[in-house]
Amino acid sequence: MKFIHTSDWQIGMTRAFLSQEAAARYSQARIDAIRSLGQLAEEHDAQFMVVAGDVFESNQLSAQTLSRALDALNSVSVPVFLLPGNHDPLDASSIFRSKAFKDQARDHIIVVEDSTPIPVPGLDNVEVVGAPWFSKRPAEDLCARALKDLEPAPGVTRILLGHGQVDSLSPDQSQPGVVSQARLEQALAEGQVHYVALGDRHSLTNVGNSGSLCYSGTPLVTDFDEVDPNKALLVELANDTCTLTPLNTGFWEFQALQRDINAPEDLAAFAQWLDAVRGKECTVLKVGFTGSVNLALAAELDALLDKHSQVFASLKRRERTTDLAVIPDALDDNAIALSGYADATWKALLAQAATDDTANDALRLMYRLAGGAASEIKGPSSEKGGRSA
Amino acid sequence: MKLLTLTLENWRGVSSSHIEFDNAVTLIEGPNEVGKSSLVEALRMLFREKSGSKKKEVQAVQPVGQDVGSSVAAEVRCGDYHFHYRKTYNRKAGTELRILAPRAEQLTGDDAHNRAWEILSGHMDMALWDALLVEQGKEIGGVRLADSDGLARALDNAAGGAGVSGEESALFDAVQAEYERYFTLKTGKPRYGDQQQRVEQHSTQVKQLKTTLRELDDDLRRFENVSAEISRLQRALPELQQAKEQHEQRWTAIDSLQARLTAKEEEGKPLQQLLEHARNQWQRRQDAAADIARREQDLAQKQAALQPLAEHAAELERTVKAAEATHKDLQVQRRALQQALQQARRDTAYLQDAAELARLQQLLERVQTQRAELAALRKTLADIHITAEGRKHIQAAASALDVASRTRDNAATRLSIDALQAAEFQLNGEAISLRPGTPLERQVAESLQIDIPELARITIAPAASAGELAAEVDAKQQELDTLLARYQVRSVEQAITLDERRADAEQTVRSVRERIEDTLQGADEESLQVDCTRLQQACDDALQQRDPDQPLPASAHEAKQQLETAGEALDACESERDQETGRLQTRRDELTRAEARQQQASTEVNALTSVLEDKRSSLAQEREAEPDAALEQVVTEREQQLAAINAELEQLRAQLQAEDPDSARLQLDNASHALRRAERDIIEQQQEQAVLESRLDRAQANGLFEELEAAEQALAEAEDTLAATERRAAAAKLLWETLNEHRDASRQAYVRPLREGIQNLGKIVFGSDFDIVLGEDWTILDVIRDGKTIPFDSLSVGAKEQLGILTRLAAARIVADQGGVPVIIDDALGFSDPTRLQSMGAAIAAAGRDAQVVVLTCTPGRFMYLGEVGVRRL
Repeated sequence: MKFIHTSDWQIGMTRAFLSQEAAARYSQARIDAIRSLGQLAEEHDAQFMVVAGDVFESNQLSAQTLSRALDALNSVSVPVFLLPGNHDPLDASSIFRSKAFKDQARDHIIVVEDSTPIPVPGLDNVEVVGAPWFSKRPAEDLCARALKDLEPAPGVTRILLGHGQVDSLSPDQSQPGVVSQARLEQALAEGQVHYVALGDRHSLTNVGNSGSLCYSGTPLVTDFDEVDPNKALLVELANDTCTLTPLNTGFWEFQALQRDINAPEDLAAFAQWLDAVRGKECTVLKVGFTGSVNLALAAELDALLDKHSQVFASLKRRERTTDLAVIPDALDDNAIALSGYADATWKALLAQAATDDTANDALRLMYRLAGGAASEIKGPSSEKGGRSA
Repeated sequence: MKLLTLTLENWRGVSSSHIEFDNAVTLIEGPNEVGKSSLVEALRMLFREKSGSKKKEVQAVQPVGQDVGSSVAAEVRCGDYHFHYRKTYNRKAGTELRILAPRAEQLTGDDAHNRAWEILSGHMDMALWDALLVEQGKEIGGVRLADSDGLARALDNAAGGAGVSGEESALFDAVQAEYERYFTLKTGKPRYGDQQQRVEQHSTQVKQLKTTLRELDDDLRRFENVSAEISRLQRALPELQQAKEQHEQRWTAIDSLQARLTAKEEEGKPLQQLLEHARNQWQRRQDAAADIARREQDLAQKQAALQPLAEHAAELERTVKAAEATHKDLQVQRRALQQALQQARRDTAYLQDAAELARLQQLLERVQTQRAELAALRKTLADIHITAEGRKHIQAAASALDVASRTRDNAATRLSIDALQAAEFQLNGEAISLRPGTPLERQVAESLQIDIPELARITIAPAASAGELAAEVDAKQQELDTLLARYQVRSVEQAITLDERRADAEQTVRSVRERIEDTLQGADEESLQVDCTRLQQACDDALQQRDPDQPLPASAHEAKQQLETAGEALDACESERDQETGRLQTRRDELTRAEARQQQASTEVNALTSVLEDKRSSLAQEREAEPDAALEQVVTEREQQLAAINAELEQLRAQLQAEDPDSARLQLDNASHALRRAERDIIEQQQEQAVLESRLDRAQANGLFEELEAAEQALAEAEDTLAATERRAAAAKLLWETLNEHRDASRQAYVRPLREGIQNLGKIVFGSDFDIVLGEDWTILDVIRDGKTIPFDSLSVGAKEQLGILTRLAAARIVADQGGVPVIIDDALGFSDPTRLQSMGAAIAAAGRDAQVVVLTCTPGRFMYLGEVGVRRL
């Protein structure tokens, strides 16, 4: 028996650091991930799919987003079990109970609304037991509760569908909703359930040593700190063995970098690295720079980032981790060969720039307006976007 | 740059003109309208305006009425370059550039223009070129040198600067343009307000959306709480229900006990009534018997009291009769006394009347006598006619007569006869005897006739006036006589006598009358008469009525005594009678009361007797119907029955007490309330749940979250943009300010060489103590001469013009080493005097040694003092 374990689709999520254009593609990618999950199910002969919570980013989504997500879900050819998670709990404003959802979702889309075992359509003796969230603040370990009420059913393969952090991984174990890993392992050991499909961690994680207790991670990366996103799990249960196969589902990448730039060679290396990035339009980069550069190099760095920011989904400096000292040197002076009062101005700003960022900026501006490395003077009309070419 | 030649064709009024310039100063002379100014105009246009230009000023150079192109050509040496440059405007427009050195080049059209511009601007400061062109008719005073880079460069050199690359101006423009992207040039106001606004808008939107979502979240939380409360209540309901039922059961037991008690109490109630009834019957019977006994006793007392009352009444009656007899006696006695008193009164009256009558009769008699006297006097008066008036009249008349007579007599001839011897004679027939010693005297009033007997008749006639006087006497006599007759007197003497008599009589009448009045004393005679008659009558009547046997009292005094005696006797009698009357009345009243009492007691006794009889017969009847013993028996039976029921009741109450119904009721009520409250709470919570649910239903799939995400993203973007803009703006501002600061400072540094240049030339013109003050923009602010500072604007037109030219010349000298710029002066110094012209000529010549100078003039004399000069005539 094979099925796909996935979670944390977070449909409707947007990221503030993306431009509008990139944000639209990123949102679309979430919808596309559903279709590709459907295709993967077909390719690997998975008989159904479980989504372990946070299908939706929120219960307050637009009709458009919901309709598109349901359209993609409807196109999946196997039964799909949707578990309400902390983002989309089964509360009074639950999106799963909205009219739009009920009207549009086809029969093979099954919302887990309680912990009653649900037989998987088309399969004998296979049941899904869910621990849905009814509010954003559960008062107890929902998985433990679902297991407590579970009547034994010999001969039936059961998959527990849960959402939340297990206590071994949770940073805050005092939260009442934290899932007890021991209880889950006990249930697996006793044969009460045969696989525990967890959601909430966006990184694919195998919990404990049972081999049957996993977080699938999100099918489309949502943050820089996710370890192994863009994955889903193909789970095969046969003769008391559990085989897990990670599947690739997404191709977006979020990367946080730190580069040290001190010489033109460093910049050249960074430029090379950037060039080598594949799928730039689906890559989100944030880069922190450290080191010390002269104006010419600073201008080159600006130009490099400017050039690539057109291509990448997002390319930003990490202001928090950027500590790049821009110090004009003799090379810069030669490059622009100022005279008269312009020269006096240059020197005055230079003296100020050591302690004053604005003076530094003014220097760089003057450097640019005076032509920088190129000897040609450019009027402001030829400048677009405030960066030199 | 050096101008070598300039050629014009068909330029305004000039059909053809060719000028070759000197290396130093070239003076071009020619009358007005010959085209001097056209030379300057053409030169300026050649460098600035493309041949294809359709500008008005370009079109204006076409000669009037000729359909030909206007062309200008110049040979120029500029740095290493030497070239011929030609442009034709309007018709057959075109540009040609023929470069001879350093490399031969041949260009046409815009390429030629651009190349020429490149060469020119590369070697010459075009701004300075414009500034040094003194065109006719333009203001010549102030010179804008500040925009000139070339001059700045030259001045920088002169000031010993590090060298100016010539790019500052472009950099400055670029910086200014950059600054102006973010701020307005004049006020320095930021231009990126829209970005700030955008940030604010997005931030507001984010805040609103967050609030809305938070409210939604609150609703959700409340919904959860309410739902939890409902299920808690619903779980609690059965427990409450059960508690309530238990209490109800206990209460039901108590209730049935209560019901039995009530039923028993109901049973006892009619029995109690029957007992009351029987007791009443028995009591009434006893009361009736007691009543009769009491009445009998009462009646006996009343009857016993009757006899003394009757006796008392009879006694009283006797007393009354005795008193009545006494009273009657007194009545008779009183009547007799009254009669005696009456008689005494009448006697007294009679005596008074008689006395009065006598007095009145005496009075009347006296009045009669006086009246007779009065009558006699009246008779006397009746015979006298004279009045006091009449007497006066008569006396007056007599006197008048006397007067008249005497008057007559005095007037008459007086006749006096003295008898010597006795003699007799007649006078008027009257015999007169005369004796001696007794003369006869007569007045001759009328004719007198004296007859002396025997002797003679003597007639003496009066004079004529004597007659009138006599007549007067007669008249008076007559008057007197008339009066006497009227008063019936004979003579005057009688009149007097009679009048006196009359007066006496009248006096007497008055005194008699007074006496009568005294006598009557205010009464009149007639009423006295009437009184007399009345009194007479009264006296007569009294005498007649009187008992003749009774003697009249002797006097009024006696009568009075009798009257008093009678009055006293009557008073005593009446007093006694009044006392007797009072006593009698008292006795009568007593009698009446005694009789009434007797009557009342008797009536009472009768009534009591009758009632007693009734009662007796009634009681007898009742006893016959139901004997006393039977009644008593009924009472006893009823009492026994009631006692039994009460005992039962007592037992039931004790049972009920043991069950404690009050606390049972309290507990039941409490349980019911708790149940009801829970039910009500459920309903209320369900209602709130419904409200929340409907609100949350509406919130489903409303896209709020995505809106917030989008808004947050827009905000982040706007904030980024703004931050970047602000950073760039700050940089641009700092750069702009620093650059300006240093530019101003450097200008200040350049001021010195320019000032020295102008001062050097100025000394030639204005004397050795000439100096100037330059502003930062190199304009002349003040002129100092003879130690006095004069503002530039206060200078004369001529001096301003001279200074303008000197400034240009000085500037041209300064830049001469860097390629130089020609100074062209068109028809200037019209306001200068000959001395000044001479020194200006020297200054221009001095400048011409370093820079090319072209002077155009229509008045050759003006520049006759120019020494080293190539003169061209047009």
